[in-house]
Amino acid sequence: MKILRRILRILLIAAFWIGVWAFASWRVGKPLLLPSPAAVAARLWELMQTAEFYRTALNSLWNIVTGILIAVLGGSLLAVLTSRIKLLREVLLPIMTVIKTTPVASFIILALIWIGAARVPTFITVLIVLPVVWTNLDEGFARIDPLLSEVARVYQMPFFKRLRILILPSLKPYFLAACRTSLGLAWKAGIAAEIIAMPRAHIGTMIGEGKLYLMTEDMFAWTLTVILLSLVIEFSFAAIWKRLDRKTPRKEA
Amino acid sequence: MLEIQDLSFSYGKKKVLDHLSLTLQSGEILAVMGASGCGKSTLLNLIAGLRKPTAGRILLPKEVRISYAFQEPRLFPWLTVSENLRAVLTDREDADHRIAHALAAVSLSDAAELYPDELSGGMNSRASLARAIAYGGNLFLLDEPFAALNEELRAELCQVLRREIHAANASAIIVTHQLSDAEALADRILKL
Repeated sequence: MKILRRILRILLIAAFWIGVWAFASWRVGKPLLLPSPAAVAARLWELMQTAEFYRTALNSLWNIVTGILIAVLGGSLLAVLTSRIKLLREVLLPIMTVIKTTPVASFIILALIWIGAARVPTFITVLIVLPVVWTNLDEGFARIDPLLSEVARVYQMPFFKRLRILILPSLKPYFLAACRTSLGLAWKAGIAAEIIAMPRAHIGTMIGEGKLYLMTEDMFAWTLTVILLSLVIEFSFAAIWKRLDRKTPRKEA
Repeated sequence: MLEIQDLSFSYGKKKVLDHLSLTLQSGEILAVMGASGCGKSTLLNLIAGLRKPTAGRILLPKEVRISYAFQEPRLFPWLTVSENLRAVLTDREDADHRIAHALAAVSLSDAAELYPDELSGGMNSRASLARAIAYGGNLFLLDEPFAALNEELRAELCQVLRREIHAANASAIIVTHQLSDAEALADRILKL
């Protein structure tokens, strides 16, 4: 009953915003500038009848998920190293700050020159997500309770036990925050990279072509696809996390 | 068991221990008393190897195993009471027995599956004591272990601890503000 009420609430909120969109489209009165939700849904349905749609969506999905995984692994590894080697942290801090503050378009154009269009989306996803993961986990390592660390030391806990009992549970909220932020950022950066780099058969390329040939309905339909895919990934992550969390300590530091 | 030679320790310019020497015999229980800030907890931390002396030496046998009940309970908040005890035990076959025995000793058997934030302050202190008992060290360091407990429980736990320390053939240093606790538990009292 509680779930049904929650679903109903979400549907009502979605209906409200679709209503706002429909009203705005009707007021503007130019489908080329702002197509109606019905026209976009019809175009999306039309696209979904083709094999090319799924190939395109999967290409983008693959690029972005690969980018996220590499960034999470790389960022975690770097955080482990910087928690042990303070000099490495000081060396990395300026470059991470530069990456976080530089406009993503600058990196996309440079990457396009360096590595070619096909690899740009994954590379950009890694570049944007890795500093977020690293920063969060670095903070997590710094905030491991020193009093609990002393308990582990006095009671001579071996490394793997210390990892399981103290380090991983302490890092858990920071890792979760990093992953949540990363999922949204990855789609933004990855699709932006595809729009500029235009690799063959990718969602960003389709959005870019929609802009070039004034196919606004296509742009909206592909953007909607990105939103839906992003939601699927976020919900899948939340479900996997919930499942894993049942087997690990329920409380956070 | 333990020999301290000419031990000094300072926090910056503030000297808290100044040329302290003492010997703790095997099986002996020593109570350390003194005003707040006189270095009682620091002394335990130095013995446990958590701080480095400014000067002097602490001599401990190589095979020493320290059971430390800190001033704060310091339980892992994401583990239940029994998991907190298990965390300090090696995967020995008698781990279950040790946990059950230690929890029974401090009257916490019913709270084994509770998390620290579900316990009162006194129960957290007892869980910390249970962890020290379960670990079964040969040197107990107890930093105001009864601070959050009422008179009745203090007296009972004094007896329990004395029994457990002797059963483990261990030595102990207990920091306390209460002369009655020191007299009930210790063989000797040191005033800092």
